[in-house]
Amino acid sequence: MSERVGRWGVALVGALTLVSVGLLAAEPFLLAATAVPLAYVLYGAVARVPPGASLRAERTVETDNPTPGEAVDVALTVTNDGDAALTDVRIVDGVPGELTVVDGSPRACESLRPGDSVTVRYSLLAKRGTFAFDDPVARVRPLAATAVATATLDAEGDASVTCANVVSEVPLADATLPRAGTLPTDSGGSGLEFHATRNYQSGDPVSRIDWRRFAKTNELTTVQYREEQAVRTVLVVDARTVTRVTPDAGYPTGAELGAYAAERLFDALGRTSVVASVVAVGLDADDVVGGLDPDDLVWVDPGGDGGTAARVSQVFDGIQAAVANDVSEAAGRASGERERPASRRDADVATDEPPNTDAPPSPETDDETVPAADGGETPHVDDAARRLLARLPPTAQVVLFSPFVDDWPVTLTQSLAARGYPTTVVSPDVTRGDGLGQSVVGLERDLRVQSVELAGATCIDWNLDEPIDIALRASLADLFKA
Amino acid sequence: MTGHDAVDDPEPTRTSTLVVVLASVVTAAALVRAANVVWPALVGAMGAVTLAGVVWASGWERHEAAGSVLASVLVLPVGVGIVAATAGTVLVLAGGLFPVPSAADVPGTVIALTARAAVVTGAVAAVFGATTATRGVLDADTLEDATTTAVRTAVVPFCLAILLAGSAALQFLESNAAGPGIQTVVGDVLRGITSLFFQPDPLGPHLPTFAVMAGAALLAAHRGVHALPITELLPENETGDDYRERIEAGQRRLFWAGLVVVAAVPIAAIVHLAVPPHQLRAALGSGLYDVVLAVTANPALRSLAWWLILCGVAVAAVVWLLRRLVQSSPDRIGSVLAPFAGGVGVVALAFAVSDNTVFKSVAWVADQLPGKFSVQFMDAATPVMNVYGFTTIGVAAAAALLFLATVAVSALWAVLATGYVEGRTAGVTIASLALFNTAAFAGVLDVSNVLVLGALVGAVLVWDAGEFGVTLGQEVGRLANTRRAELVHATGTLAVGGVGAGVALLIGGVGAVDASTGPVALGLVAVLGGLLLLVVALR
Repeated sequence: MSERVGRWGVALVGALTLVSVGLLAAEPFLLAATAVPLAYVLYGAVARVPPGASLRAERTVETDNPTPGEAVDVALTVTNDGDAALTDVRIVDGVPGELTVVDGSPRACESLRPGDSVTVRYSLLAKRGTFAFDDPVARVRPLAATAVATATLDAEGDASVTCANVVSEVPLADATLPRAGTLPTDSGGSGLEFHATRNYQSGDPVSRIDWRRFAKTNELTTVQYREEQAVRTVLVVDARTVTRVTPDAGYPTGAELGAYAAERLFDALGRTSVVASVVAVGLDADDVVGGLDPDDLVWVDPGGDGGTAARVSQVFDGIQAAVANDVSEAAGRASGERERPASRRDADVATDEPPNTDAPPSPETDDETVPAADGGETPHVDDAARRLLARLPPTAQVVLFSPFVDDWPVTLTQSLAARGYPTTVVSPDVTRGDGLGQSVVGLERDLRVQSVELAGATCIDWNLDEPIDIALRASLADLFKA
Repeated sequence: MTGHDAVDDPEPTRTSTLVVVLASVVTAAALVRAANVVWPALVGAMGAVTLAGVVWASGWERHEAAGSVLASVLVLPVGVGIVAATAGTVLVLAGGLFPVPSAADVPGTVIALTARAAVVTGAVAAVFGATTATRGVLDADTLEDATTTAVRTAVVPFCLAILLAGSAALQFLESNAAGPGIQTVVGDVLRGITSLFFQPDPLGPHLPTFAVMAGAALLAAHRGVHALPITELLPENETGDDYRERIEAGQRRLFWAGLVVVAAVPIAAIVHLAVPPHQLRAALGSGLYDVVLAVTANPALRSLAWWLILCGVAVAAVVWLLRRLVQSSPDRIGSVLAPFAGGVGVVALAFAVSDNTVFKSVAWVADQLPGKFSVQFMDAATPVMNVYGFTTIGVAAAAALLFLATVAVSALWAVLATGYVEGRTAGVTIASLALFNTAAFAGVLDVSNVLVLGALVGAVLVWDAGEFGVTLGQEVGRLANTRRAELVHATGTLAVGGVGAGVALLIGGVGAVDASTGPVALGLVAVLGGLLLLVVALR
């Protein structure tokens, strides 16, 4: 099933040129010299792909359990099983359309003797999810390259790459939580720690009456203990359109990185029985299964209907789908010809409608003012931030995941600080890079991080060269200091 | 780089590109050396590389303005290279080959000259093809941009050359410095026309020419005032609307006055032709007639009208240009204006160096020409230099060089746009066919057969490796390791070429093709035809 390629037309033209010039100048040797181009024409005409050509392929994914954003090494080995030497074997591995090759090339061209093999090595940038490889395609040509046979190989070995984004080892050994899941309050009630005494009031539990005092003074007093309330840790993921930027082609965007970190932190907190809510800001109704809440936020409280874990996973999937939609729209705008194939995962997550062309509603950034560092004036917050603040429970502590590429997270953090919420900020640094623009944005981001720290929040600057768990460990250690 | 699709933004693979460049340069150099025309070929090769640079720079997408600047700077060297490779080669060869001892040698010498010139131009074209093949930059869109850039670069020098040459010619003709004959007659007519408009005879009224100039001046003034953003620039106040209305009314009046004066031109012409001055004087009365005479025959008023026309047109043009500019992006402005600026630079260069170089170039050309031609050329060139001056000739020569470069780029564009050459492999196809031609014409000269056959194999190798590299670049890309397969392929091609060359030497050696034994040669042609048929049948 090889097809012919007309390749030696130029030799025919050359032969005709030689004949013409030879006749014109009466030079017999030029007629003899037509043997050279004609030899090529003959060579091209008789060349065939060897009939018994046979190739075998085996793929190995060399990185076990990659974390999101980590490079996954893949090796594809193709062996010539046939009897004939193949001078021109071209191999293209079927890289999953959603993943980006960051190092090496999934393609190769090699000459293979019988029994020889060639190994193609390349690295993919892992994303959260399971991605199946397509079968590799091989293309064989004879030495004259006038015939092409294309075949899909059945690759043995690994057929998919899985990046689960669950905490493999609980990194909590050095981040002991002093009061796991609870926050002491300044009001009396039931609890463990002594707080105050007061006169007995009718209806107080008998067990809380101070009987010794009654024995001494014959007065009924009630002991009050320091009331303890369950801490609500609220993980806020900033997934507005502005945050969907990457430091380099193929790397996860700021929104995705925030979502990865939030997902891992949510998992880790779940193991330590801390009650955690998850909020995503800036998503579109189409991005998340089940749509948005009436106030345009996606807010998942523990113990909601249909299971918290499932809903939280929907939220993180939604962020990834939103980013993928953005990227494919941008690619469509940029190239205008070749749409990047939508991921299978996206197809499941996104509804059946085509990706909307309108940009997701993003909060206005123009009307925000960065207040003085002493926090003397109340920062101007936009609607999304105001709705978020309105929904925060009074005992919440907030972890904000944002790449800090605009002033929105700064004003939000300052508003949180003004309302007395203990706040931790995890900020993936997507502004690294050598370009002038990236340097400027990087400086602006540094300033924002500083102003957030001045506002009293704990800021974890996540350098992307470090694994995600180091940043998380730092955030966990700081989380319950307050 | 995902899936099985073709590689984004494909470039030919490195090893094949290296083979193409090496084979092209070595083959071209060997053939040029055999033809013994080194210097024009070197300058031509420089021009070929700059032509490739023009095309390459025109294709820059991210830095469109910078690419446009670079392209327009490189257009002049391209013209120099083209002239060196063609006219320069012929000149040097003619100087070397002529004069011939007897008239019987002329046809043979002409064939030798043509063959050598063809070798040089072929080699230069091969260098161009190989250079463009390195990045696969040739495609119709890029060449269209390059043509636009070249045309824009040529506009300013071309117009200036026409202006300078025209004014020099007018001055020369009007000065009556030429000998009697057609030139004197033309000079008289020209002088008559200019004096009719600018220095009219003060004895009689000149209504029609005055009406033409006055009408044109009024209309030009209206265009100029209309183009200026006067109403936009006036400060806003309570009486602002009043101002604006008055200004607009004034503009309308200018326009209508101009129209009326222009419409009066035919009437004035009829009056001028039909009514003699004394009758006009009788009709108008002597006081009014004197006023008309003083106004219509006054050179100062006409000069004023002439300057009004010039200023009005200039203001309108500048304002139009500025309005266009502010509506465009900086990159767009840069890419549009840069070639014109390049043209201005070329003019400045011509002004700076032409005093020194024009005479030297003419003397060099005269020096190269054999025998009497030299004297005749100098006899023809000296008066031209005297009349036009070195600067004008220098600007005109620069314009001609730019024009040649423009022609070369647009010819390439035409070849690609019509689809005769596939854009994907355009560079290697040009290089290979040029080398084929070069080898064929070298075969006419007394070059060793082995060199000719080697050049033929080199020509095929250039095309084969180039096409292979382009396809490989599309299918596999530059990042993958492809060197071994490419070398194996090139070795196979060389081996087949060796076999073909051996057969050719064998045929040539046993004298199968000898002009004296006609039937044998015919038989060979028949064998060739049969082979072609076989090939067609096999396909």
